[in-house]
Amino acid sequence: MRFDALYFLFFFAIVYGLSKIPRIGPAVYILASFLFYIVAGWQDLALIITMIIFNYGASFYVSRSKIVFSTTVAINLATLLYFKYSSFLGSSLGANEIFNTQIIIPLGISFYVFQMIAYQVDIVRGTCRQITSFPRFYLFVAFFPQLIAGPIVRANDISNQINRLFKKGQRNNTIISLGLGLCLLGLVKKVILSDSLAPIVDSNFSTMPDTALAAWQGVLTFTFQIYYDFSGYSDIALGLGYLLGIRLPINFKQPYLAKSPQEFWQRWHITLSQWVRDYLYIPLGGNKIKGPIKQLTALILVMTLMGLWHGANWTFAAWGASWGVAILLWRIGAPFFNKRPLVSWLGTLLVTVILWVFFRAPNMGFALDYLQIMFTPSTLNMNNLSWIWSGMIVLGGLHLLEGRYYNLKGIKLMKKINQPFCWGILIGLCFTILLLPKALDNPFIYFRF
Amino acid sequence: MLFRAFKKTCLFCCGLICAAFLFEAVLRCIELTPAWKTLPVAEVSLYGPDAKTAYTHRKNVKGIWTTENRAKISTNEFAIRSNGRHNFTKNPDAKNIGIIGNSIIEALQVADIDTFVSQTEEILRSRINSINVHNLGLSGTTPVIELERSKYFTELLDLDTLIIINSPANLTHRIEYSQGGSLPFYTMDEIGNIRINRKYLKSRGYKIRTSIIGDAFYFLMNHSKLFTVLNNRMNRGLLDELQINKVQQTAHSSENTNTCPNEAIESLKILSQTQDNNSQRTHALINHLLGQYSALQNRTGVKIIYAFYDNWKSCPKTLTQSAHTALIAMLENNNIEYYDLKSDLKSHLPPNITLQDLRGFASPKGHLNYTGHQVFSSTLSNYIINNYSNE
Repeated sequence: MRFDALYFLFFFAIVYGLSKIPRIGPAVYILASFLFYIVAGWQDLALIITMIIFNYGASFYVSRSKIVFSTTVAINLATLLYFKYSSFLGSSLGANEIFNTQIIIPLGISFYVFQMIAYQVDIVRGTCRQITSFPRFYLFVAFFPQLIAGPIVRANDISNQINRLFKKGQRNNTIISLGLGLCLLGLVKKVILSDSLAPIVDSNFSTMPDTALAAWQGVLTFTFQIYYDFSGYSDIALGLGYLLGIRLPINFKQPYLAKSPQEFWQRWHITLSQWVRDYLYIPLGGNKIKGPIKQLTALILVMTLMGLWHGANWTFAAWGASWGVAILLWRIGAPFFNKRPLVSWLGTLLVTVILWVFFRAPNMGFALDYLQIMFTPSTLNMNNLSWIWSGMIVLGGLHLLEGRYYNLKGIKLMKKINQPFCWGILIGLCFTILLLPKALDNPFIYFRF
Repeated sequence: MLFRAFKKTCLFCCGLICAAFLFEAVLRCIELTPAWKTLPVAEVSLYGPDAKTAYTHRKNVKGIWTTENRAKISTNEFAIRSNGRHNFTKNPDAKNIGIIGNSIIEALQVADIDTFVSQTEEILRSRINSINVHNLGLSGTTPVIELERSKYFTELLDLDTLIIINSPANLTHRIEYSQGGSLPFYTMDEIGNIRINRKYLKSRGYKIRTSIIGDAFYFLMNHSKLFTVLNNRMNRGLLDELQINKVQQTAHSSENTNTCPNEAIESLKILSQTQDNNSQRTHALINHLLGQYSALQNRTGVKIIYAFYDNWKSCPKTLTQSAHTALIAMLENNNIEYYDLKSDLKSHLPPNITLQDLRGFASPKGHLNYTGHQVFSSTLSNYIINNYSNE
């Protein structure tokens, strides 16, 4: 199911209504999560249930035996490799063009596999309590607001909330206006902004642009499209979870305001960055690695793997590796950048925009040609400049403004206006936005991962 | 407690109403700024019921068309696309030319002044005093609808010349269009007259649209963007997203522009052969249709030109030639002028542009793009100037 579909609104309304009935809340959540994923198809459903049963069973033994632990992690990774990367590993040329082909990988596999690996590691490390009840474990992995495209939840984040739900039927106190507000914000980002930018991006990346200006326009548009698409999804996930009494972790904090590549990853897809840091980078030595060559190697390895997490294509590997280089460059140049925050911010933004070319391009050849056009001087067409670039400024302004409502002040305001009148406005706006026609089938970009 | 619940419900409903107004305001703001080219807008609801042709354009409607290419469009008081002028008044001394056909002529994908009809008018006005060219195109039209519209508009607009632009396939396959899709049914009487099925006219949808409720809804759509969005959504279906993949798959599978389509071969065969029953029946129906055009010509004095245009590529030449020979013969028998628009367009193409390049905006398939409208207008205006400037 998709959050930006009208039928999902009806689905959620029923789930929300039923969850209010005392004692049946957890059962409603489990059933809803099951139904939510059925739409992906029976094969995908069978896979996720098998993986949940396997990981649930293994979690009883991982802390007792290293072999069981290693095997469990290996099986999780092997499943991901098989379903997501088999064509890529079989032939390096058979890379998946995720923006041009049908999604053939099981829905949300990258997210739930990472979530379950983190869970097993946390049990072995002793940093989280084991979830002994199967229904609770099922809900931890498959809770529908975060199932398909994150945030990647840790057991520590939500196991207590789930336990409370099962034990006493209690949910966190919810400010309905806040939950609805997050859903509305997400829908505005997805339906109004991201979906509107999609045709411009598609046309720029379907055929090679003629001029540098057109190429920059294409990649800048994609810069906003992917942000509003993914952060929109995360906002809706947070809002839905919040309305159902489960608080999910925040995934975005105005990433384009980051003043260094490292900070960018502390603001973009935060739960993935934290996962990579805790389960990949730190075990490899982290910041304690001495010597720039070793640091570079570790960073590039980690960031390449993170890039490849997004898709089986060399473009993602190049994207991730380039981020590794950028992070190291900023570390080396720290004395310079720390004194010049504006230059550092502009540099980071420029790196981010340029690297999105690798992310969006169908293959490496296209990406390199595209970059070449971006840096080839050409004449400026002022007619096109006027409205497209003013649109970009508006989008940037909206990004800047986000910080003003995505804070404690915003929450307090929502608490203040937590009245039926405001609920009516927020629900009405969500409904009307969902009425808008979809000229193209534009599922959330991160559904493809 | 009951009072509190009632109060809460009332407040909630007030909130919903406020949301409706807010949404309306946002959509209107978008339309006032250049953002309408990108952000979601309410696609104009252009059509209304018609007793003779089942549906037609509504009068004085303005709005934005969003499919294929976004454009601001409008209809005038005659319920046809306006050419950008809303105060058209009849002038007995003026020459009136009507161009009739399907969505290619209707050209909703470009603004009123960018249609080839409007551009043709501009070109002709610089050469001929007092001339109007009217856009009588209608999406999804069939030869029967075209005939009915031709009769109606010839008298309404005092047409001097009527150019019917049609493809051979439309003529052969849809001459007795009886069912399919969302289009109305037609029935045929013993002498070959085709009219809308009574069942359609008695259907609930048609009845509602022609009732006071329908009038009220059209009024609301004319004045509210929210109602237009709601109407469009109801037409598409509330659970539209569940089916969107299916629709796209079908649309992609039918797209192949490099070979002569089966529909074209079939149509050309029907036109060029007279041996089998199917061909004979189609020929008889076409003759009957042309006979009615001939009668219209004789009765009103309008000059009728039947122009053929299609976007087919690589069709067998011999088959195409014999089909056109048969068509020309049928037209001559009915005293109607034949115009090979496709060949004429080829001779007006700019360098490095093919007929296929005249269509589609973001994708190669679709309706006429801006180049297409320019080529069409230069071709048609040239043809009219060369053949009719003295009349």
